[in-house]
Amino acid sequence: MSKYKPTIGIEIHAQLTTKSKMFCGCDNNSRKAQPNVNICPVCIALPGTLPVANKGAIEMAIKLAHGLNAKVATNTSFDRKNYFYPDSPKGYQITQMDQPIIQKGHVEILVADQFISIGIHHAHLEEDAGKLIHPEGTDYSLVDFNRAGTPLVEIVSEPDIKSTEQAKRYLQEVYNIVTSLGVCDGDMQHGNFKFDLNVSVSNSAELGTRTELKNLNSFRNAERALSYEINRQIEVLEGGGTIEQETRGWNDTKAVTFSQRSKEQANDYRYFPEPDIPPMVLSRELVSSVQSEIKILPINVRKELHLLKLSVSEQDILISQPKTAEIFMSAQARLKSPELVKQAVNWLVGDYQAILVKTKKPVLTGGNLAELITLIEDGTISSKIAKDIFAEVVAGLKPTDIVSSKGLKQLSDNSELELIIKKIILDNPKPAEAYRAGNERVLGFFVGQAMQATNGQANPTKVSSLMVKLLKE
Amino acid sequence: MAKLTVDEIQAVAKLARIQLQDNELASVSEEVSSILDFVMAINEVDTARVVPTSQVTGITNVWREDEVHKCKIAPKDLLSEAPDFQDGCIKVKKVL
Ligand SMILES: [Zn+2]
Repeated sequence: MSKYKPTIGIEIHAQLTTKSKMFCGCDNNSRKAQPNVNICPVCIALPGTLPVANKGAIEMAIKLAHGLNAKVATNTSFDRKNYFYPDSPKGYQITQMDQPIIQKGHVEILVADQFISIGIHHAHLEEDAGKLIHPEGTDYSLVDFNRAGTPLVEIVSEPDIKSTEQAKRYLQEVYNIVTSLGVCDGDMQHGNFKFDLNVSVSNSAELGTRTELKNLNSFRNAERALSYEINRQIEVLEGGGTIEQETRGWNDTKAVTFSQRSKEQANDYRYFPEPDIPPMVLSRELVSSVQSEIKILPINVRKELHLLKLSVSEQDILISQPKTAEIFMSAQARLKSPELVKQAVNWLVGDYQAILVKTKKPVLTGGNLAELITLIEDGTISSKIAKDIFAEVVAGLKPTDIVSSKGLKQLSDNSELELIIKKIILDNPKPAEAYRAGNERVLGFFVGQAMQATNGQANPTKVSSLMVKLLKE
Repeated sequence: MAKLTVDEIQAVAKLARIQLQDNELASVSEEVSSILDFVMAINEVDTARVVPTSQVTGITNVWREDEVHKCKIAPKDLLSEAPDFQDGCIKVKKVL
């Protein structure tokens, strides 16, 4: 075991799902667009233009604050971060430095069966830059401004993360939060959720010099890059060297981190308040009305599922599907015991997933799922019937309606069942004889016959016990 | 009296993308230093009880609904000042 302990802080950039850009009315979705078509005088910075903040982006940040257990700043404003680069038409980025919209908060993560809290330093709104393309083997770069001005939220953690595993869980949990709130589509392949990792190692109480791993866009690469970088730093220190404060990239093919830019060359961004956008005062009324739209948060679902002793990967199936998680939470509130809640999970991670693949618009409600489970529990229908009608329940029909319209009520009338079973025994004298001679395996055959004769409407346990009783007569 | 070193002048010039010749460095650093001196007269005002101000209009919450409004000016007109194009993109000297 190494005596060096890592300390990790993470900055996440999540692209917001607004219809229009951060400061102009240009279309925010350029996925299928030709280069440089979703542009206007504001986002390509023609002189004399005035940026106007997108209220939708501000509301998304207000929602996110709730997900990050953070307060929304009453007074919030924008600043300019100055730099020259061809992807920035203005020569600066409008961001938030002094008064970020989201203040201190925390995210709970589940690691090794323990909930731990990772601090959020703050989160702020800003605009993305344009896209740069570097055609190989040429002496030029190409600029597409479709993305220039796209709203981003940057979520800055405290350096509370103590291991690669914790870092990965933190990233996944924030991902769950932004996607379940619907403020980010979570498309990591297109860079809509990406992150920078700050990491240092130390064998004393004092923090070591940190390096920054920039622009990662997969959980797996975050894990690999961190493990590599932690080991690299330890090796340098144990070899008597020192860590340089620098920015490092991750080379996926070679699976190494490499030096990109040292601190000495770091930019002086000359931040100052954005004069073109008046400050914002966010009232308590606005904040509470926006936050009241939030139905569930991933952490609440995780805690419910953790109580049921479900594994993290089982929890993740539900949590990664915000709609399914919502159905679960509404069903569990209606079910009486943990056993029944567990059945709700089984339906949702089992049969429901199979139907989801085939159905475009499932309309399963938590109420209908709870009703179905209750119908099995009180013996009204068998679990086989429940499985048969589940597709219709997912299509939006009420389980009790299906059961009554189709006459699917379980046969619980003993005398009626007895008649059916007696007939089966009479029709099958040989297996009956074998049973009486001690071959108990034929019982399965008899139960199967009875289920068939009742179209699956009999309770298998009841059939089995009646069958044993009547076979012995 | 403010006195900017040649190194500081070079750093500022680099940030502002201004190219200075070696023989200009000394004179520019003199000139910028004297301009700074002039502006620094404002330091004599006691601002201990003044809240930092960056806005004077008193206006707040200027925002717009999240709606797409396609720009009426054609992209090719918007970008007509760009020096060169390829595949719909603006062509610039290689960066990276
Ligand atoms: Zn625009």
